[in-house]
Amino acid sequence: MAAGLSAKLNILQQSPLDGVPPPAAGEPDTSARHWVPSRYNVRARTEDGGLVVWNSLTGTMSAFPESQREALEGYLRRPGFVAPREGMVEYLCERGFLVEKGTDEYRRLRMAFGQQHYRTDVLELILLASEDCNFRCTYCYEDFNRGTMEPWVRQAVKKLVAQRAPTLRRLQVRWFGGEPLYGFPAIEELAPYFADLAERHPLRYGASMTTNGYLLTPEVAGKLLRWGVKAYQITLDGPAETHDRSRPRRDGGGSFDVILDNLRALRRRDEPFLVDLRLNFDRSNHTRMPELLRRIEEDFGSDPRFRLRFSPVGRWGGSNDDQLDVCGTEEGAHIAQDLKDEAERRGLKLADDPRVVPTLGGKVCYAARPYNFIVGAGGDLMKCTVDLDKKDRNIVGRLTPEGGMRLDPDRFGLWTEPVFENDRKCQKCVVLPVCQGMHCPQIRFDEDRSPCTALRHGAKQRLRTVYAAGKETSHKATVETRPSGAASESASAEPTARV
Amino acid sequence: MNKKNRDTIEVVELDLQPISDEELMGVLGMQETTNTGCEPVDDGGGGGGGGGGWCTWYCPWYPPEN
Repeated sequence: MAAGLSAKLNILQQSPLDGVPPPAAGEPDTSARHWVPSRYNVRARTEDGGLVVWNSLTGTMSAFPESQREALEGYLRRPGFVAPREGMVEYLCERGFLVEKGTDEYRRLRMAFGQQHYRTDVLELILLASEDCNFRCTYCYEDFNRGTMEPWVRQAVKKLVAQRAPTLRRLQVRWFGGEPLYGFPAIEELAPYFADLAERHPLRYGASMTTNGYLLTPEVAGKLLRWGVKAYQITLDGPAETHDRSRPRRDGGGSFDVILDNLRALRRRDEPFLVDLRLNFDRSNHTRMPELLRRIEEDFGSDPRFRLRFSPVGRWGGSNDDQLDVCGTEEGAHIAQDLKDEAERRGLKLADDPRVVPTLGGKVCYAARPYNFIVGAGGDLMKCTVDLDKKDRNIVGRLTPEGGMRLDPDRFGLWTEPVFENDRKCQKCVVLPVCQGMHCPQIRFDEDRSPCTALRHGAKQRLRTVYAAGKETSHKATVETRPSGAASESASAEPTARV
Repeated sequence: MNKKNRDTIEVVELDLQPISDEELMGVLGMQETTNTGCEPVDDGGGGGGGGGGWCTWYCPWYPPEN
């Protein structure tokens, strides 16, 4: 054969292998393989007797009916089984619930982490339009050392974004402070610039704002919405009396009535937007929350653009911490649940959608991502919005007037390094793909422990919650429970050979 | 292919979410790589030591996730 080919071809000019026909494609591989359950599976029995399975690496979640539960538990039991990849085995492999024996899933995770973590086509900026505030909330941890973002910083931010825009797929701007609207000149200069830039480049642009709402007048809201700032978090601490006690203006006056008027005006607008009303509670105000919920129901109840989020007040590092009547962890969880129940009874929309399945990296803190920066009013580049400039470790660099970032590699690395690679507890954890050991870097620094997400011990309950909330509306897939070639009536969903 | 001999079941795929509020509103939520800032941090389940708490609850901004 080789001699025949060489007689026709000049093998110094063309490979004789070029004439060999390729193997036939499209034939399914029916050979039996050894399958084992993924190390990233979490299983839970549902209230109706079925089985819900989630894979934290692939992000898939499937619920099987009670009739198949035992068979499924058989598939997903170690040490695995030998079977061809077809029927249910095919489905479970496709979803990541089964992997071939010998698969190094931790390596797969590290690859997925790298792709997600070190991407350069995303830029997230948290811009401190003003580091000062027109309120003096009792629990605030900020120092208010600077006012509005300096003009040279605004120019530098523009240059930074303009330089990066051609290679970005995503640009996210979050306005924060202090009170961002206290620094409105900076917003007025930058927000329309970003919106215009996003029009001229094929990137996905989103902008949001955490504001106390006092300066969110109809005129300001109109401008912001035009500039693409469409998502807001605005805080109310109960009805006027309790709110004004914990969130007074800096002159000591109340703020509730003005905020509510601004929110009502916002509701009258036609544009799409989202307002998450953050309702902070502690031991002193939580019994008054139902009064606020009644008012919200009256004013915003039927408008899906307004959603509620209940948050317990904490001792967050402010000078007034000792005076705060904060709830304990469990107490806070119970109160939050009671308030959620009350809100749902009133038909109010909650910000946290129980149908949302945790995704790869979905519980990683923004501060841990290399593409996320806080830009301070004076040009500092920071990571954590709680540390801000109170801790040197958090000031990871400076913006340059030319729009560059001069980063301190040690501090920047401190926040962004893949810490799970040095944390045995993380490496063994079934939800590592979701938090990647970076749920809260600050805890790791301050308390020298793994900052675990509540999902670590609450995953099964979370699965049941997702199932209960989404079973009626989610996609249904039809899966064969026996191989397509099986003719025997005795064939079942069980694997062909247990190992 | 002998379809008569095939059994099938219906599996609910919960990861395929309906259109999110953000998409419906035209609000671009793109926090697929950051946390919600709204869950208590687990204390390791051991009770005592570490303390746990609400630390991520005080991340003072929110992402309109998913």
